[in-house]
Amino acid sequence: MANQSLTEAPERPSTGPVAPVGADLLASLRGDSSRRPLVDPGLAGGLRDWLEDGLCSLPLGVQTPILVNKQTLRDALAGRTNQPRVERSITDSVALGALMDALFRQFVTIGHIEDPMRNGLDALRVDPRRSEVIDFVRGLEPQERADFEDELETQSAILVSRWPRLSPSWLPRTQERITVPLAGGDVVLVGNIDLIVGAPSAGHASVGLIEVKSGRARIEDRDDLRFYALLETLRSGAAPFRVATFYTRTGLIETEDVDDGLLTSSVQRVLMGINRMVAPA
Amino acid sequence: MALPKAASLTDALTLGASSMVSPDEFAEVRQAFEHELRRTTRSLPTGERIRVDGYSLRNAMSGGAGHGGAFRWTPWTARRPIGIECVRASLANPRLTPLQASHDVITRLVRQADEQRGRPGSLSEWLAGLAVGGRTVVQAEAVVWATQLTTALDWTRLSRPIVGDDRSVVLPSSSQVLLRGRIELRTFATPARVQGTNPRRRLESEPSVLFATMTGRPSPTARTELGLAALTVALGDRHGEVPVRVLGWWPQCGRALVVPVDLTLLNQTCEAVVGTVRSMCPTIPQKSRPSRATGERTGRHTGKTSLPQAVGEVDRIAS
Repeated sequence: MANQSLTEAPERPSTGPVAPVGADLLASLRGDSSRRPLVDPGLAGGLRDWLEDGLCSLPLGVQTPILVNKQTLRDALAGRTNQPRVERSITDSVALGALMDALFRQFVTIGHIEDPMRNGLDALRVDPRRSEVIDFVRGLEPQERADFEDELETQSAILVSRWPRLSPSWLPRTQERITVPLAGGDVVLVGNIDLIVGAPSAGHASVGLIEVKSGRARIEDRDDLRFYALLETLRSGAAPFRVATFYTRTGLIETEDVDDGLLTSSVQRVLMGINRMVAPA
Repeated sequence: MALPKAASLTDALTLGASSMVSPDEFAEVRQAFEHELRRTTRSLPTGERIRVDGYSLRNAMSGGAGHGGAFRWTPWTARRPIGIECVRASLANPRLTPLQASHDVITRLVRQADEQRGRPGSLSEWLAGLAVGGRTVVQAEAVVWATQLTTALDWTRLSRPIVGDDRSVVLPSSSQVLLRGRIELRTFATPARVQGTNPRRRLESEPSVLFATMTGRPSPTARTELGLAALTVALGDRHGEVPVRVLGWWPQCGRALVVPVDLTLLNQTCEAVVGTVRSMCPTIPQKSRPSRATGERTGRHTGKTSLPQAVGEVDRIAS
């Protein structure tokens, strides 16, 4: 069984300095380094074969490639596949999530956040795909905007109070995209991971994956991370040693060790999800 | 600091081999290529230049028009030039990580703009105009790019690696066409055993090999895109030396494609380039027999630049 653990921060950041900042968070990310598994060079190939074999028997149809990301997988497994496609509208929580992702990236990269709202919007402004979020924030009524900004500043303060500056030797890289083509490119597994740390190694597993969430903790969050652990294994040939979700709303971090059982359960979930995506309505 | 795949990628890149295309054979390929290019660009108005790079090649071959807009700096177009500087810095100082190096590179570029040494529209000018939040996105993208390249290979086993060895080639016989090859790394194949200690002999026994970082996942045109990198290196070499192989690496999906550079690849690449150029030229009635690549596809004039802008940035090749 995978080892799961929770580390919770105070509900709101304390006013006084916490020393050392984020030591417990780092410890929970690292885990017990002596217990990290050896990289199994045959594992990634085996998982890929399993997926390919599973896809062989599915009627993939003509509407390919089928893009499978954490959201489409969730929708498929929840039976929302065959409903009319509704464009995801921007809401408070979506906008907050986009801004917190940008602020987390900034904090990991340069180690500070000056003005959460300004920094976050500036980050989104360089990405044309995020213009809807900017428009949404601009369109808020004064009171709504004040409340929104208050929540953003609170979550940003929790982030800064909980996260230490990561050592550059951990090779932190943010919002790294992974695409895994399967079935000759007819199916593409896609993920965009908020933070990957750890110098890749051929010896012991040495890479950790971290997702940042601005909303409440949900059971599906763990499935998302297991999906990302599978993607990273397929891409790099080595499984990550640990996955974690950090909640900027509470400062809570949830971690899970990656083992063969976690990865095989993710393979089954992916196959089940794709099966439902391609199943006739 | 190497991915599990790094050892096998390095093996695949540097595996000992001798060149499969002799300078004489390449001279023939080149002659035919120049002839075809000259013929194809006759309809191109004077003063216009067509740029053929991997992107335009892919668009022309797949029948896509691309977005066709003018180039502009974004975090995704800026990550490569910054990332290359980061990798160079990390190689010069192994204690320097991509994150630290990216900070230094961006600081230097912004200072360059502040001292008004940046050209209008240059990367440094654009970076200097960004607020902290935007500039951080650029830095973060460059860190990802540089980390992917740094960890893809076992650098300790590479012979005289040259990072960011892009080639821009204008052939004297077809000066309206600019060929652009993107090469993340040029190094040398493991030398075959050579008798004696003559250093010149030793160097001759080390054919170059190329490494190109690609985006997304392999497409059907990948082989030709990699062929373009090899073609530009061969065209730019004074002695017509042809690289022995190109290795394309897609870090997002962990896939690699090893392409041996032989006459077939070079001929196919030349045909694809001519086809791309033709798709960008104004159509004129063709009286002569079209080449194999002729008129297969049409595309938008996405690769045109006016001559004055490109002059000075290219290596003119002696015929």
